[in-house]
Amino acid sequence: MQRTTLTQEPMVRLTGVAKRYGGGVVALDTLDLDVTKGEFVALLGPSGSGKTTLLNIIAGMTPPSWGSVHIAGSDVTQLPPSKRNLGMVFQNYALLPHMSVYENVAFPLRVRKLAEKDIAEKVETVLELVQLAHAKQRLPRELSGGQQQRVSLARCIVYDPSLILMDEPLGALDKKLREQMQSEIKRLHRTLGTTILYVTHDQEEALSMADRIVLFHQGRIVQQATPADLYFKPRSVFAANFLGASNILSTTAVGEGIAQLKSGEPIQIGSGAPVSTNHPVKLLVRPECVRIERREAASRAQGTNSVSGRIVSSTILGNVTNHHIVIADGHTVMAQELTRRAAQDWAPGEEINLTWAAADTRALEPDEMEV
Amino acid sequence: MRETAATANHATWVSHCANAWAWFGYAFLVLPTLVIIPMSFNSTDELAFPPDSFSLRQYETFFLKSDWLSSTFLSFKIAIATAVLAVVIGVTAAYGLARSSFPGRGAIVLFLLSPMLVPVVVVALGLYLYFATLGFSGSALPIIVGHTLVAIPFVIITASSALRHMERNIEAAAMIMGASPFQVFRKVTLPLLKSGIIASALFAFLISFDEVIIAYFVGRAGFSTLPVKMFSTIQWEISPVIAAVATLLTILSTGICVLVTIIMDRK
Repeated sequence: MQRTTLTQEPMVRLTGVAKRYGGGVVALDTLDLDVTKGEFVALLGPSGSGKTTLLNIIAGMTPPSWGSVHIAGSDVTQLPPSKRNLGMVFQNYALLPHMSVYENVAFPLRVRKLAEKDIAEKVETVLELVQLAHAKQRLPRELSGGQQQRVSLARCIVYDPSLILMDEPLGALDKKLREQMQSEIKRLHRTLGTTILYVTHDQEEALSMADRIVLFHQGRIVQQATPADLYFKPRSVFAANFLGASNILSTTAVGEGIAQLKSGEPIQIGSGAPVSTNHPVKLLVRPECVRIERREAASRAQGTNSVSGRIVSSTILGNVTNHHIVIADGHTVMAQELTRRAAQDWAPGEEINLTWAAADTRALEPDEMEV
Repeated sequence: MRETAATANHATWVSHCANAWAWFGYAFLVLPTLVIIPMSFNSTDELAFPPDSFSLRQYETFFLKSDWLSSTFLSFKIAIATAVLAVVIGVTAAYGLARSSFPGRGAIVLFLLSPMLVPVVVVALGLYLYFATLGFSGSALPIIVGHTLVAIPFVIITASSALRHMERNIEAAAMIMGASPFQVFRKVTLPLLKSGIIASALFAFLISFDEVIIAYFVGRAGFSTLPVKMFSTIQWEISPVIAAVATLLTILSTGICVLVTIIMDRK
């Protein structure tokens, strides 16, 4: 959205950055990463995957074992956090508990020795922006979690840092407040055009907020792409499983763009990693792409995969209904459809066929860790 | 249902008994101290209980007619010096230990807390021999050093607990917002540790003010602190003034403890 012009210098450039701790623990494997000015990048991954370590390296809280960090074109690898001119929002807010909201927001301006008049003006403007002008004399502990996080956002944007780092900023909030804050952060990002690096383990958050998602697993970047590309074109089993629900079929390639299940049923592959004949290949089919049809009525059209199965259970989860089906090779596959009153009732034990478009079938690279 | 009710009844009965025992033990320990208070208002020339009259004669003697006051001032001076020294050393040590990890950290913690583990009389004897060689007669310094030594572990423990309760990210956040390490310490760490520091200073003051053994071993002629003077007084004469002194000491100690509790609670 904000990626209007490509400046020659990226806002953040990490070159060969790695972090190793004593005893050979690899927190972060050697990686390169560029972040464009104004971009909203989510660092997504399970806990312990290295995303927070990376954020701390950029902030200057943790020195990298190797590699260099450039911010806005200059090498900051050796600079202390206070000299990097960036902002950080923490999960637990990290507000100064002995200062009022006003003083908290004024703090970065005071350490920069601004005139009292300018401080007052800037603080008022920013508090207005996060809708907390009425609470400026209160202490952090007198505010709700959402309000505290808004103070910590205000305290970040007040000194106009070139880059804002956010470490699971909404992790401590309940679901409803989280969604509200997500759109608030997006709004601030749009209005201010700041570059944001956002650490989260919540895939929905990453999908809904980021311009680009960088997916971490065991200290490595496994894939980086726009939310849509990451969802529709995951490269590995890990990426497919981490974002959204997925059915992973274990098959063997039998030719160009065609594989077969252990039951012998052929599956046409639409996209993904190249396959080599007679080698095992994992295929991804998203549950919402799978349709259940009566066995005799099942489509046999070219470009459609059809596999026989038996209904195990159906669960209504509100607006969607999940059906679990055992297919001929013994694996369970999930089919998802919108819940409708008129929808066909499938009884457990019923013999059916599952169909999906060949285009919705994606071959995945085997995970390195699994080999 | 009846069984559970019976168990519950039994449990409350047991807890009542335990409470009663605790109060009994407490009374047993505290009453002898409290007995001193009415004794201090007696007008006779000997310690007696129950007192047969009420007067402020002992207090008059303490404040106006004796050399008790000079000992009291000495104790105050030593206790204040101890509090300042112990806080400066103890808080910086606690801060350094809390904010770093290095091999041998545990050994340093143990070393710093060791004055608490060694019997005070051993510390006192060591200091006595040490200062006898150095020769610091005619000064309160040996007592101050000795008291600082035993107060430091308490300061470290109080300050460490205050540091542990402090969110570490707060200092990181201040640093990222552009504050220099000195600004972080002065504007963030110090204000947040304030109540812990005040509490540990009061503790150090109290430890020094009450301490007899070290003060007795290393204090020279003319440098008897209040507790030492009390101790030597009861060896020669049983003057009822001592009851007045003890009462004043109790009030001071209790006052400081209440103050510490209020300060710690306010957090």
